[in-house]
Amino acid sequence: MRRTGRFLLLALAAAGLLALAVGVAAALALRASGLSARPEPSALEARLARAARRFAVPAGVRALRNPVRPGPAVLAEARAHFADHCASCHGNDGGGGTELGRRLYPRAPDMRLPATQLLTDGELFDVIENGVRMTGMPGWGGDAPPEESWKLVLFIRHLPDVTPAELLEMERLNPVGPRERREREEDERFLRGDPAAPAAR
Amino acid sequence: MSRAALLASAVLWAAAASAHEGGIDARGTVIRAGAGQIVLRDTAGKERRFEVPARARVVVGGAPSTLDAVKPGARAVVHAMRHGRGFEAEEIQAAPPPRPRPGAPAR
Repeated sequence: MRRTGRFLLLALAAAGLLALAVGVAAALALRASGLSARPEPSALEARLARAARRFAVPAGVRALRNPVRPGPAVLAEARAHFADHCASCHGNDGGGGTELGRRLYPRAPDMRLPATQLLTDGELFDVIENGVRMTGMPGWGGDAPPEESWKLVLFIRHLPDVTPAELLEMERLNPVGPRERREREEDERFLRGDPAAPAAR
Repeated sequence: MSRAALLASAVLWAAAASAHEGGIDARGTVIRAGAGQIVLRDTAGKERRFEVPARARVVVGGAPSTLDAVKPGARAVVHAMRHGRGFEAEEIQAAPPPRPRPGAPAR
């Protein structure tokens, strides 16, 4: 009994020391990084984060199938929605290569790749509706009917096959500031043959 | 989506678009295009030459296209960035080439 008690005390002490060491190491790492968003997340961190996100999605949600049937009109709607609301971070092609997407922590993912494409419909829907805490992904649920998020899931599935013509159409739908809108309109007037359009800038 | 969120995304997008600052934009008539180059006569009459790398996007008549489809005489807008001593086109938008007038000799 006494030996068991001593062993337990030693084990507890070791566990306590280990926890202290881990805590100190974590504090030092935190201090060194400054919580900067500039370094690339490590592969381990990315893997743990994805696993945590997967774990957090209820099995019932993960098993959901998209109730919206695909079709040209639905895809066009979803494409317009994506261009207007999502592309500023994700890019029109879903590649995440925008100024914002490259500077978020974690980075906006390349949604054409398996890491996104292998998520279930329910998981994609959940990310759109609820966002992902401590990332740049907002939760959009509540403002619009869930059907809008399901349509976006269809478009995300289409991303690996998006065409140059679709990308061009999306660019015209991306939100722009007043200066760029004015420049774009001047470009279009010039190309149509309006002699009054300015020469250059 | 709330109006505030939409406004925020527009401001952020405009901020990202302003990354084009440091480049130039030219509007004019195509003198020649091909072999990795486009030459415009801008509306002030000045000749503007741009290198066209493979990654540059070319749009003709509102549809994705190639540099070979940009014909002399067509109106064009070139968005370019300074590259060395010259400019490299990032995007070329061109109108379809003008139709010949009836009775005009074919070129």
